[in-house]
Amino acid sequence: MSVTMQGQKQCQQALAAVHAIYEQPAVELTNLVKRYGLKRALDGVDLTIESGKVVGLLGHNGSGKTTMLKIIAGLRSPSSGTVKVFGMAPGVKTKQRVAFLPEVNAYYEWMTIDYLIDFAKSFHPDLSWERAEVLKKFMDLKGESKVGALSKGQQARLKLVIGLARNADLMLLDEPLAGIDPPSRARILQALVGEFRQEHQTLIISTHEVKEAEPIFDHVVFLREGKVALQGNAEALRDSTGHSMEELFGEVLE
Amino acid sequence: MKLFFSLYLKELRASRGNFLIFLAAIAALDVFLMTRAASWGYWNVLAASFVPLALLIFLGMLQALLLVRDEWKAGTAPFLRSLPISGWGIVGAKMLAAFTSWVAMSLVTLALSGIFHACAPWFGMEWLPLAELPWSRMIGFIVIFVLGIMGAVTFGGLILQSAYLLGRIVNRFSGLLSAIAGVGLMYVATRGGDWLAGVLSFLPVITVEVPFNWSEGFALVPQTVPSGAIVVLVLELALLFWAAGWLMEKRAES
Amino acid sequence: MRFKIDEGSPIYRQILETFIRQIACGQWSPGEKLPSIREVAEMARVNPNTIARAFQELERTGLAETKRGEGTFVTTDSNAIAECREDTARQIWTEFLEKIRELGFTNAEIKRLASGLKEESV
Repeated sequence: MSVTMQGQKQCQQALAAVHAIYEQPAVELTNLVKRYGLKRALDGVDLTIESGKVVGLLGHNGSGKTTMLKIIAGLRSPSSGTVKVFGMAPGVKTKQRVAFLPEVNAYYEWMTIDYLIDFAKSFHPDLSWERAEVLKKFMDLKGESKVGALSKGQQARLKLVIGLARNADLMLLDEPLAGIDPPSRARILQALVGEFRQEHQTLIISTHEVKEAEPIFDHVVFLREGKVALQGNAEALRDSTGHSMEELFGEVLE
Repeated sequence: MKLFFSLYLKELRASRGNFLIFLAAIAALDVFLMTRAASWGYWNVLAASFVPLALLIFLGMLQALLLVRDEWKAGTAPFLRSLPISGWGIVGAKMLAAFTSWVAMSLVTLALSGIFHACAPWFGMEWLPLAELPWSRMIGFIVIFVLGIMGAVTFGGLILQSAYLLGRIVNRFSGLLSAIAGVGLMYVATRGGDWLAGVLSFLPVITVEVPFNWSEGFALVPQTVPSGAIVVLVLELALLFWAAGWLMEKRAES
Repeated sequence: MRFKIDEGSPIYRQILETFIRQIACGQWSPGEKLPSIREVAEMARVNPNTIARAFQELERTGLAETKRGEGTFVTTDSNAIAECREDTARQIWTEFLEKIRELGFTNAEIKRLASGLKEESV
């Protein structure tokens, strides 16, 4: 069988496109500002997040973490500055590849879990029902349960099922551990590490409860009052400062 | 297309509650009216059973607003807007679902009234000589009338959705902004529409035969409808749809 | 497999030391396949890159080797393991000495303790 010239060219183009996607940073924020009235939730943030990393976005409530994640997800627009997700401005194209898991339950309460997975799958073809079944079992959730009837811990685990059943290139988790019982937390962290596909995935996790989550971070970004106070590789920071990320949190953000 | 349809189905499912409430209400009303057939007179009661149709026009517009507003009220807006579908797709799906709801509710009302009319002999009355009506001459009127009402429902629905979404740009005084925007939009649309219709008055008029003077006997009277008005309506619907979609895509915050 | 992690110092080193100790103790037999990086990461709830670095360092000590496509295996070199055991013991011994000297124990007192031990273990 001979490979046609056109077929070869298409193959090369496809490979180049894939390469382009994974060579450029997952997220690039340049002088990002977000104003609400007179207050600046984000005050000139410059941040580049490379693909394949697990990043901890650390800061107190009100430091701008949620705003930053929502802007990356395309749910809010910046007041000024630029946002690039895989080289593109947030929009329909980036939403295909980004999974945003908000802090508060955002799913329709009248849907059953299985209905919700079906609904999500109709928008995200990369969602695998096989993975969803495995994750449902792991997270101890039943398909017939209504979203509105779930406990807070169960809702947190449900977000993970939906998020991880997809194959999103960028996952944004806003306080995935807040107010969650310890057994659920351990399960969530285990699932995150277990399902993480370094070859093409990037995880950005915002939290103010650092201790439990910090071992899973490659990179940490400390956010204080809308600005990046400190960022770096977690292990390198442990080496150079002799502190845990939790201790640095106290130092840098007090 | 598939995404739009998935969202449309979900919006229909979300409209189900109000539809069922309406069904119960219209059933109760018709049962009540039936019991008044003797005291009020059969024909008065039959005419009264059509009155909900007028109310439904506003309910249809309201449903369009509610489908948008409930997303923010229930906290599902972040999930909805993280889906890879444009703001225009979202507005379109919701508008179409509200429209479908309105059509269904109107058909139910008409059907019940039709049944009531069919039961005329039981009340000692004879059927109206509907077969004798000059249907072929009235078709023009019926088409323009129905299309006009459909246009009105869509128009009102889009104005309400746009007004609400304008309020969603800010995070304080949203309600106030929406109310002002709604009134403002209505004024601009109607004034602007009148002006534009005047500009387009050179366009041909359409003559339809309109049923007139029910009480004194049935007569068809020719009336003129400037086609410019129709053009203006279509234009305004397109503009409103574009505006609502743009607000949902680019400006609304969740 | 449990890992006690102190987040105040580089985690990869702690993972490395844990494996060294386990190999020295004989918890892993020579030639035995260690769990994959992903398995360890999931169990310990630690970033896979951190585990990968620990495994790299482990290879550098000569206690393990990575076979492409198959995984990481404990070395079959029993001398290396014996040396590791000796090194680990020496490390523990040094730590012990530091602590016991803080109590003010002299060498004679230490020897007394040690002889007491000998009789127990028979």
